[in-house]
Amino acid sequence: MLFNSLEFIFIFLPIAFFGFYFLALKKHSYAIAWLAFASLFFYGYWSLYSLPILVISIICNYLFGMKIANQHITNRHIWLVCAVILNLGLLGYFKYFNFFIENTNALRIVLGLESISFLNIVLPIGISFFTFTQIAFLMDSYQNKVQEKSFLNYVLFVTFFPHLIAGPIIHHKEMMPQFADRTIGKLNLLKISLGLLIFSIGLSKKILIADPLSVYADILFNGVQSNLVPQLFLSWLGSLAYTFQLYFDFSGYSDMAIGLALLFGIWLPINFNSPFKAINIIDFWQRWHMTLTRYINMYLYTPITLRFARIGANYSQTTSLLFSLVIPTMVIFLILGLWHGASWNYVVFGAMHGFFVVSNHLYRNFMIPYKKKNILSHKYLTFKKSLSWMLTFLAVNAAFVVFRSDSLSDAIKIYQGMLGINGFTLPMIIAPYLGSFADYGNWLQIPGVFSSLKLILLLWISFVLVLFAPNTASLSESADEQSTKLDFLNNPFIAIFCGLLFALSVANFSQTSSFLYFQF
Amino acid sequence: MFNPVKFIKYFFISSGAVGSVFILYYFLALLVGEVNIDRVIEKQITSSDTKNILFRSGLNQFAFSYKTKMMKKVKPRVVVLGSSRSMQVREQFFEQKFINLGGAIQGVTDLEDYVDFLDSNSLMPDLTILFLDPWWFNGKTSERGGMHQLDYPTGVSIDHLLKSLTLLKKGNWIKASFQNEHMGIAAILTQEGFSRDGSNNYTKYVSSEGMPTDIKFQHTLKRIENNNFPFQITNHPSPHLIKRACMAIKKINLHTNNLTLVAPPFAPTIWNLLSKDPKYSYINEAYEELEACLQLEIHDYMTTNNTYDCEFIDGFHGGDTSYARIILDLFVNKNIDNGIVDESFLQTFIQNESGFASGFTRHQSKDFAEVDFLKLGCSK
Repeated sequence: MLFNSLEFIFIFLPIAFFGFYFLALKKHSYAIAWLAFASLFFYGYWSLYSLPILVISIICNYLFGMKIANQHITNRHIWLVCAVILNLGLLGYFKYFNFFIENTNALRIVLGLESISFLNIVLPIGISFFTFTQIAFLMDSYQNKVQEKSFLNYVLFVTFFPHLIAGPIIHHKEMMPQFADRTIGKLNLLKISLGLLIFSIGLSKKILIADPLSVYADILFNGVQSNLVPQLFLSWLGSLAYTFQLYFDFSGYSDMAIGLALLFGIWLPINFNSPFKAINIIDFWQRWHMTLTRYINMYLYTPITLRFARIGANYSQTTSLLFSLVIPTMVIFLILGLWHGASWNYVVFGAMHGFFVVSNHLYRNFMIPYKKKNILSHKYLTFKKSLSWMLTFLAVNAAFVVFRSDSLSDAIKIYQGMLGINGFTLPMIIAPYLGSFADYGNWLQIPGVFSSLKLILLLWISFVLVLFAPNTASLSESADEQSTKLDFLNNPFIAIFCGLLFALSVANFSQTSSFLYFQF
Repeated sequence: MFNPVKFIKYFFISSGAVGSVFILYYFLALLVGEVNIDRVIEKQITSSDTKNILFRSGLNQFAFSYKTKMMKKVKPRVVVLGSSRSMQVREQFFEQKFINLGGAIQGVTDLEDYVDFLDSNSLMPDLTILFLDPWWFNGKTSERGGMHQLDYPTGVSIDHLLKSLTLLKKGNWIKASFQNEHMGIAAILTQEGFSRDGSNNYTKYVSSEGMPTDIKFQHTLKRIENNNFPFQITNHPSPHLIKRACMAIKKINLHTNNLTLVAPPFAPTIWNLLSKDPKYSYINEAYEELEACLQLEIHDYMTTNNTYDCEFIDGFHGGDTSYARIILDLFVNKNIDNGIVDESFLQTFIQNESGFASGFTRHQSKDFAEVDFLKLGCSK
């Protein structure tokens, strides 16, 4: 069941919503149990086959967590290692085993050995998300950060349907107290109205922008897969279409998740903070898929960097930099790439971002003396800011090409196209403005849809929104405040506009597709 | 202080108002056949012989999904496959259950999709007549053999609504939908479209009320002069497209008892021009390469003397009589599979409709009687 489906909006959601508030009147734990049941139903509706895997994973991790949190046993670290290995083993089997076979086969062919058959593995939806969420719970249990231990609340923490399939990746300590809070079952109209607002905006991002853009992105990427040689304009327009599609699709999903959670009085962390306003790549990663960045920083980057920095401390400055910055950053970004899926494309995507982040850090170190001396003029700084923004955007766009391509060779063809190596053709749309020059031959031909004003309009709207629009999801942070921050929502046009976006999005459901991040 | 009650009230009022418009529009679109193609097909094939309910969408010109669904429903013994240049072959030409999939195959990709369709539906017609357009093998026309055709919408959308509203400029289709039983906005407005056998009907277009675009074949000639679709020039056919087409046709051959391949006709004036121009030598080259790969003959109706400009819709679309002549020649004169066609019907039809392009529809209404719509000096 997709968030953008009629059965979700008009059947599942109202039943879950009214059931929750009705049962909350009786007993708080009934309402929590109802929400957990609804969430398991939501997951089972996706894939009944995956439901037992999720349930077993929850039970095992809860039992491990309780064991690890027990201060009276001596070998807690062994329990933790076992539990983490089990989780990673499960993820590795479902997500990476065939990738491992594929690469082993490539080696076996070189060695003249017979290939191994692939296993018929169906990837349980959302496995990366629920596995990561639970590993964090185990780590927190080990560090004695787990206070709330109710099994029912734990089930809801893992399965709560707004975040279950594609995040945001939530943290035990920010969710469990909310489930334990007896006020969440009381109808909170402030939270509900904010939920409606954020959900409508997320839904419209997905339906009215991301889905129409996907048509153009698919023409480029699927075309290259079937031997299209992409030329300059096609490569740029197609890659930009994908970059914006991915952003509006994923941030739209995250907004919907935040909005839905607010309908039940639950706050979820924001996942995007206008990432295309970033003026450097480090800034970008602080704004893009923020809950994944937070997770990686907390459980991987910081421990790995500390470990490597200790090793590097005994060496020269350059070697120390290698240990404290280059190696940990590259390792983290390779893991981050692989987290997205079992493919060398994702590894290259991670490596590209690792390289960008390392370069960004090195540049910062290089610039420190100039900044301290304050010798850079205001004009230069403004120019530098614009240039930095553009460079960041281009780097992100370039990395998404390899992220979306079906193979590395397809990505290379698109890069060649973007560099003009495959030549260029002008869009038909400008033909009327070329007068008699337009009659000269085939050079004006470009796949019909790329001549459409719709694409130009969509890209233009996307640019305006990502650069100038405020971050709606961050309004959820004001959900508990009776502050003046939300006074602007008294303007009836905002409510009317949101209602309009909601209705127009629902009206377009027949043309929608699944969310991109569901595959991860 | 923010008043959430007011917000929620305005939110539901505005979304309810817009939602109601779309709900009403959905039922209207359903009524005129612009959503739910299965309902359209059901209505067409269950209609009586005399009531020829036509279908042509005003919003979606992709025929693959509509025609294949129709084929799945009818399970025909005889199938015609091809682009718009095969749509005039009629069920009356044959004595067996027939479906015309003309318009469904626009290139090699569609041929492959048709193979997938046959595979997944276990269909096995006795006879398949495949009309092959030469530009399917021209890499300059379509490097990838065309794109996959979109499915018909199952629901409405903003685009759907806006396009329908735009079509009101061409005529009040809402009012007209109560006056005729045709399905699809284009069919309601023009009374042209696909019959229940999948063949196409030209009525308004060839009448005095139509606005033909190819007077004296000027439009086709302009396309040739500017190398516009489908007359892009190339030195040789694309080996990649020939190979893919060959593989797909071999698979189609496994799904039918008898496969007949045809090179469809051009208006003689146009073919005279193309055949003398070395820039179009790829056409014959493509057919020869395909024949060599398939080890099957492609019956050439481009160079035949048995066709006339006056029987054409435009420079490269033959009319009903042209195709009646082809079918008669193939199955009676060339004696391919005698007994499957209705020979006496074809003989009479050709005799009565000689010189006309729209033999099947020109008698339907006095308003739409065929005139010399190409201004070629044809006697009509």
